[in-house]
Amino acid sequence: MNPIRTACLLLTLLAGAANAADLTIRVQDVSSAQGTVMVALYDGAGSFLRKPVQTAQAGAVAGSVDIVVKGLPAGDYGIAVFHDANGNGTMDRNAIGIPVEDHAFSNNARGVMGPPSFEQVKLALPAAGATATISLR
Amino acid sequence: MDRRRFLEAGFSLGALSLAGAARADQETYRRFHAALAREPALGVYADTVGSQVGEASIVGRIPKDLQGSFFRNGPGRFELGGERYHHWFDGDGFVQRWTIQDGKVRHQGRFVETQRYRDESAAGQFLYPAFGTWVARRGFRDNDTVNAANTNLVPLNGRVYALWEGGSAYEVDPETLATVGVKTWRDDLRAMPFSAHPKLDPQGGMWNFGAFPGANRIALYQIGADGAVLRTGLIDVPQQALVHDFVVSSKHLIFLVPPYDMKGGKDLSFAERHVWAGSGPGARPMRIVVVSKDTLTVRQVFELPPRMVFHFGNAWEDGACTRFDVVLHEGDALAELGGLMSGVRPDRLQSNSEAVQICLDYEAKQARTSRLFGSSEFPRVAPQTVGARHRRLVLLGMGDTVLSSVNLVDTDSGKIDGYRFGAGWQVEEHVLVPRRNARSELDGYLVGVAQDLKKGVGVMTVFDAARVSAGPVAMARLPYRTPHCFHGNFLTA
Repeated sequence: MNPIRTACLLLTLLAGAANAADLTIRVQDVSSAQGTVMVALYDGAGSFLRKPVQTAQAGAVAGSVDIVVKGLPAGDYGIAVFHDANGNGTMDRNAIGIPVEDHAFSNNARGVMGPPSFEQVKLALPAAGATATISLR
Repeated sequence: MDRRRFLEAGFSLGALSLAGAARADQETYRRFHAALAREPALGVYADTVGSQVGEASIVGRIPKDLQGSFFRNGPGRFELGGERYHHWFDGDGFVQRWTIQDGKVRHQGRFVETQRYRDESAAGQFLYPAFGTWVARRGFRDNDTVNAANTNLVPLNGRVYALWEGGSAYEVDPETLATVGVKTWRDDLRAMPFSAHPKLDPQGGMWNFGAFPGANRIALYQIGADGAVLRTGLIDVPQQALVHDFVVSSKHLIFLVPPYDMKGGKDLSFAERHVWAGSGPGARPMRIVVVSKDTLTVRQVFELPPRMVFHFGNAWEDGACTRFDVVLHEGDALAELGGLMSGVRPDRLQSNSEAVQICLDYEAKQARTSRLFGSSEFPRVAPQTVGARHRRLVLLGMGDTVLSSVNLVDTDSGKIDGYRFGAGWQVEEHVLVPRRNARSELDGYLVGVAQDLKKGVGVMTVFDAARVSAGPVAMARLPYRTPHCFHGNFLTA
């Protein structure tokens, strides 16, 4: 094994471990216990709503649901949440493309004629971890 | 330029552009109030605050067999925080009910408590984009967040719906007019556009459609008498802009698509994004899109010279042809209506609209137009004739500056039975109210509202449908001005 490559890998792992932060996503105002609450995490404007760095889900509970994503590098993240009430694995849209299932973003940000920007949804995750509260109302 | 001066220049430029953006609405407010001071008749477009309730004093006599509720809707709030909307279509829906019982008339009116109305009332300023005014102070979830519920008030199966066109129906309580909430006809139809011009089937239930400017598709809905969705469809309509109304025959749903291009770009309202494409060398025609009811697919598309369209009368099958009536406007009537909000009346509407009957000849692939009436608007037909052969069309005729006459047009002979209210009046939509078991379209009453501009009060008017030119048999005068409505419907008790 290439010693340099091994050292680099180790360093990366150690660095990751040292900075691994837990993000608790508290999803409020879940309208029913049907289906699943889905979350997607994004780490930049370029990948926002295109390529999540991590996804997670939990069974829906009427009211509030906590979803914990562990071991994330500290940094800026944007979160998109939707309540897949009919459990079909996708955020359903109506015939002209408007989402019909409850959805929300970190900072409870809303866009104007479309989704909010990454700037609006961005939150800082420190190494010590954080809790993001998002309302589906 | 040193760094400090550069920054100052930057700041002052920024301040200038900010002030400019904010002034746009304040300027409309200032211009309207200056115009209103000169011409009190513009009070018809003034802002309304709070609810209304009152007893009307009757001039003449309300017929004994006319009993029921006249449900109407129109924009009431145009101003907030010193700003004024740019377009008549922007205001928050103010729903009204005129209750006729035993010769007495009672009026009530209140705002639909939409999410927009509640959020903006709490904030003390406009927050969200309106049809003709771009406001972006707060982000929003979807089109129902900005729903104005301001265009029509439709009773169906014991319930009453305040309709907009860019989003869901809002249900209101038939007795108190208190807001019940957003109506979702079926889960997958949440936040779908739902036109303010459903066609109520005389046998029960209704047809309606939903169109978003620029969506290039129109959704079709058939709803049963019990409020259940019977069928839905979706048709492709390229280069589709504002489609406000449609017409229904026994076999077809018919749409007129006026030639507009949808301009892209941020910070523009829907109205501003509509660019008239009906003049100049590249002028496009107006299209007539005919949908078969049995398949909910496009049967045929016809073309006519470019015109703007808001409202239809009725459609019926005449052998191999379909006939329908419609009011056509020359040029960009949509933008011209915008001037009302700053106190400028659209004089083009005066000379450049006409009511026509269009005959669709499927074999010859031709749409033929014949004139029924001159400058006019707010066409209606007797409710029992919707989708079937009709012989009378209600039209409000244009006076010098405002709609000032009510007319019943014989669509076969062209003869007109009309009444001119004269100077000092502005006439709103009138509807035919058939007597029980009516034997003809004339067997009933013509009921509407007119604004007495001199006294600044709202008046409900009742005509004998068989003798409109004889003048109203009764006028129910309120002690206050009622917000100008767009559309309404009479529910016989």
